[in-house]
Amino acid sequence: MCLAIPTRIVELEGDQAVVDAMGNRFRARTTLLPDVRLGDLVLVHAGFAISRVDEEEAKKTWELIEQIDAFRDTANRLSG
Amino acid sequence: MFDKIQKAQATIQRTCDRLGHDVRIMEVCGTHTVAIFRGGIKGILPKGLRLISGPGCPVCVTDQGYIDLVLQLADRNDTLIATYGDMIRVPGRDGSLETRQSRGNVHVVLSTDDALNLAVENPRKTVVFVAVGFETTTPATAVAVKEAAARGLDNFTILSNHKLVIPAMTALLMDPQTQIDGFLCPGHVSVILGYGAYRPIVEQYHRPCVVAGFEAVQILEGLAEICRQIADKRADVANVYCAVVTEQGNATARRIVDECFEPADGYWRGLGSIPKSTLRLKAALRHYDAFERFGIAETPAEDLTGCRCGQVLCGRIEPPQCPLFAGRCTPDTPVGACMVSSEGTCAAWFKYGDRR
Repeated sequence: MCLAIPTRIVELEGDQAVVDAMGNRFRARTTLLPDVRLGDLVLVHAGFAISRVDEEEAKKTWELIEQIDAFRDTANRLSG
Repeated sequence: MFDKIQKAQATIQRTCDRLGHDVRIMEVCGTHTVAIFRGGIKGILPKGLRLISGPGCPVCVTDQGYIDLVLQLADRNDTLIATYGDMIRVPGRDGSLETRQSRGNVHVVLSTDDALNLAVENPRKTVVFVAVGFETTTPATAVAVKEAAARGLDNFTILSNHKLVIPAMTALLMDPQTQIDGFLCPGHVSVILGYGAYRPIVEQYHRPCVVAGFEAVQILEGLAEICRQIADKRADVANVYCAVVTEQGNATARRIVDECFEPADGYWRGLGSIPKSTLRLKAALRHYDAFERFGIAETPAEDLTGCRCGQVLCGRIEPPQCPLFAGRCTPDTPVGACMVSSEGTCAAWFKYGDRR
């Protein structure tokens, strides 16, 4: 439940942001990270940015998510 | 990467060989439990290193009494229940939120903003937000309560069961039946708390506390650091999730939570009542407190017949030791909370582990 994913802020107005994670865009609030700017990388949990994250860590996590997705696809094909 | 794995493995092996007795490390967080299975980490650890899953899945530690209260509120005609998807299938004494979905008043939300919008769109109903989760999740609830108060959104309430990790870790250390030599501390809880928050555990109980992220290599490095400290007879706070966790954590998030909540004694499945471990809304925000609004109180309930989730959550037994595991209780037909949540210890064992 405490999972958070790295995203990039692509729109920002006040504390309302649109963030991008691997091409998926969704809304997130930056209320808990008041100093963020457009283009920053942030970890998002339950619709809120909770921390900054560096480029290397974000890439590692995105790669991990891609691997899990690929694994799931393979598993689904095998079982289905 | 392989260098790092080999180095960590060697450190762990050396410690286990040198000590000559089992080393018991608890991973507190449910996301770690799943990552450990998924990464195949148990398979490359020496036999002498025991990983114990802790009470770090918020769905799993939520007491049966709280679930029954949520179901009671869902049965009213004047309420709308807003809940994160994780809670929907947790069985109470009489069904679950899922079995009530046909009544049309149970809504799965992705954020507290969705719950607030539900209140705006349904002025004749009272929204009850099922507020569960640890330090990572609580700030979002606090923001919603503050906004409801600022906007005078009187039909928004929360039923708070937000939990604090450190009181639970302390309760486990004080339990003579549970032996823990070190803690792999939760990554995203620590984003908010800061790794400095574990210092009291290190100082009072002399157990290493190491924060790690969720990548397999990092988990191994965290375990190796704990082993290194045990071998050196040291207990320190350390952090291998440097990319996002700082010593101070997110002070803004903690301030917002402190403005809204105060710690109270609270019930945990399996652990019983733990002093100052659950967050309740402060008196000034009583109007948004579903306990106050509906005049209800949580009373502890016994686990459902035969289910041994409570002992699993304290690390006293492993899931296959429960007579229901993989028989009557499976992810499709969960009896206990640890099988419902994908991060529950029983669900992780069922999916990735040995079912015998």
